[in-house]
Amino acid sequence: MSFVSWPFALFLPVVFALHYLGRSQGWQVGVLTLSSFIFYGWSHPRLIPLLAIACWVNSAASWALFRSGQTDRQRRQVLLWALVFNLGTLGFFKYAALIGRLVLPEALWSLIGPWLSSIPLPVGISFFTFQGISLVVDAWHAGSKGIPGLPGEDGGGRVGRHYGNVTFFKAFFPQLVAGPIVKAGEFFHQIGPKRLTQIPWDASVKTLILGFFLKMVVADNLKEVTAAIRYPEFLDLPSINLAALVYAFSFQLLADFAGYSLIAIGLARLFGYELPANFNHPYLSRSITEFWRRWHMTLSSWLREYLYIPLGGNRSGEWRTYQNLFLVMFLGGLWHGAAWSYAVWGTAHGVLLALERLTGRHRVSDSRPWSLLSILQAFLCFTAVTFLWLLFQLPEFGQAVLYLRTLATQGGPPQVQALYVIACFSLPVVLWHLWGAIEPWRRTWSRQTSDRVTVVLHGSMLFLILTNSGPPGEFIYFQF
Amino acid sequence: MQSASQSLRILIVAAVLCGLWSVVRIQLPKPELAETNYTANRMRIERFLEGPKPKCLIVGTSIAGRLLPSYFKGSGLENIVNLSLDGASPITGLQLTLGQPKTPDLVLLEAHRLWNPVRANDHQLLALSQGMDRRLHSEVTLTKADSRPTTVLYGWLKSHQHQEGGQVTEAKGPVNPSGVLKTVPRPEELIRAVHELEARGTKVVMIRLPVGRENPVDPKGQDDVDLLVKDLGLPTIDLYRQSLEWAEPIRYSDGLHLAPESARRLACALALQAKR
Repeated sequence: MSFVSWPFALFLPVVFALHYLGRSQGWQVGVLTLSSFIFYGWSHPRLIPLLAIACWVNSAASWALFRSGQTDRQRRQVLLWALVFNLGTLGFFKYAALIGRLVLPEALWSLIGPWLSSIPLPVGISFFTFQGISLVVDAWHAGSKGIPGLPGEDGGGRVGRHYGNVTFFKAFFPQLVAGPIVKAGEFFHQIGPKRLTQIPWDASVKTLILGFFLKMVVADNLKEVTAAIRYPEFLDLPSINLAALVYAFSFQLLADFAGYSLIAIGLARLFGYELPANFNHPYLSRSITEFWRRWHMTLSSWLREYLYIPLGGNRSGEWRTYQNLFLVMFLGGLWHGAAWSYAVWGTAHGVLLALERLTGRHRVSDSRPWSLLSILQAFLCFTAVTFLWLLFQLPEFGQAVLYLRTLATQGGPPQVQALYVIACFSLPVVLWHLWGAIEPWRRTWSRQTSDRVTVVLHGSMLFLILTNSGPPGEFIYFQF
Repeated sequence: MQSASQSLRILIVAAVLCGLWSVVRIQLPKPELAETNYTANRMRIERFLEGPKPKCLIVGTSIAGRLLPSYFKGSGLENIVNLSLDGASPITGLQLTLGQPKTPDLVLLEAHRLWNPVRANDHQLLALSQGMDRRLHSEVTLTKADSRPTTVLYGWLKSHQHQEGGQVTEAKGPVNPSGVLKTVPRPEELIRAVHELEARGTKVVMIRLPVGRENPVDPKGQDDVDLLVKDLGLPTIDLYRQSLEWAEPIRYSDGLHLAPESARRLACALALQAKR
């Protein structure tokens, strides 16, 4: 079920009413878990068993790690099997065809290749398997006392409630399909009885309006023109349109994904839960290092905590640091999809991060004041990031190169209609970033001024959602 | 209870803006063009389904879509609606027409790409004409395609551009000689739709328009469109071949679609012949 669909418009009020109808934690967690499974299986009910198995395995593994009297060897084995299960599920559904093509002999590939290639990618699998990994790794570190909100055997935990809470954590519908990726330590301590009077209405409503605005008005309208970034359609377009389209896709991708994350955060607030922020005006970044602190922050944080640091991070010498950086970015790229273009995209980011590390730019503060030079740096960083996004729209590497070559050589008069659309629907993203850039100045506004501006801006966005939405479509990150 | 005062004021601001826009919207002319294909199609479908029932209907692709209803003013064919859908098969337009209890007296069916199969875009448009969104748009005027602020602005800018002549290009040499089809596939769905329209008392006339770089290499020779027309056995208005005789050549905005002035002349010629 999509957040921008009629079934969801009926689903949400029903779940909301049922949730607050009961006052006990068991009822509320039960309602939210059951409705999350309905949400997940709405279009593809056959995916429900997969989610249920993933929840069960991670519940069982984390409970086994929480039990007292386990030897280190036993605990290590549980962790290993849980990781194998999570990574194996992800690998099978996402990378079976890619790996099969690489390792299988031609004869065997021709036999099972078509079957491997036909395995559908279950929506949200990249997200809920990462949450499963975070849970078992945190459980491994915590031991029998458990983690805050999810007690182990020595902390007074009970097996039934443990399974229920873990299933809820993995399946909670606002973040199930495309994040934000919530770590165990960020979520379990929030589980408890919720009251209508505790709902932060203003914060929820504003977040939801901004999220729906970015998705329905910005991303869905830009999608109409960026569809032209497709082979061979782009061959007919003049350079100016080709260049504008790359930037438009960059804005669309941000609006689509940040929109989804904001809707998820706003919805979770309605049920009394706070999800971590996922975006912080990423195109204001003045370096790639800063970009990754502002873009898909929960993925960056997950990769840092569960991959980069366990690999040794930057504590094992310069050479190992660069090696870890490349590996994390390479795998982070592949996480987006089973195509080499994603790996190239990740590696390119890795190279840029390494260059910044070499020149010491990674140490520069994100909150330094703006100057002419830093505006130029932000533009260069934005342009580098933007052109690398091209690999998301043209996963065939050769086509991406052809696109750039056409951009550099093709003349012709601009196609004004597409430029008009790009200008209209990119503008809100630019203004949103300007809003972020003037934050220090905004802090000097009186409370009344700030309040008025906020009300007018959100009222205008709501007006545009009602009148100026684009064609409804899926969120881009569903495919990852 | 946590504060919800901002939320209420946000709703009030949105309601006030909707009210203001409703008033402004009435003062402005309705846009005939939209900034994206989807919006243009939505606009045409909404006008067809909700406007007064037309006596004459144009069904076709984005090529015939350039024949704006305003170009027919004073031609004696005022009660005309254009249901040409950008990037869609003309069969979709016919299916929408057949979905109505009463069909128009005359359907002008554009011959270009008639053999194009129905694709995902067509399914999306058919769904658009039936879904919950459709019901919402028919009940709440402000949510209609021609009320979109960006569409109204685009329509206004284009109407000014048209008055100043707009951007035109000469057609390049044909890149699609004779449609490149070796044999014309027999579009069964199309034939069924045409027969059903005729059975319901509608006269169906094929129209052939100039299509820039997709015009045939040899204008006099027989091509796919001729074969198809012959196959369907329908009366035809061949504006493409007629326009070859005109002193002023046909111009295109992008090498394929008619420039406003040429579209206006073709609309007048079409009205003259359709009335007969």
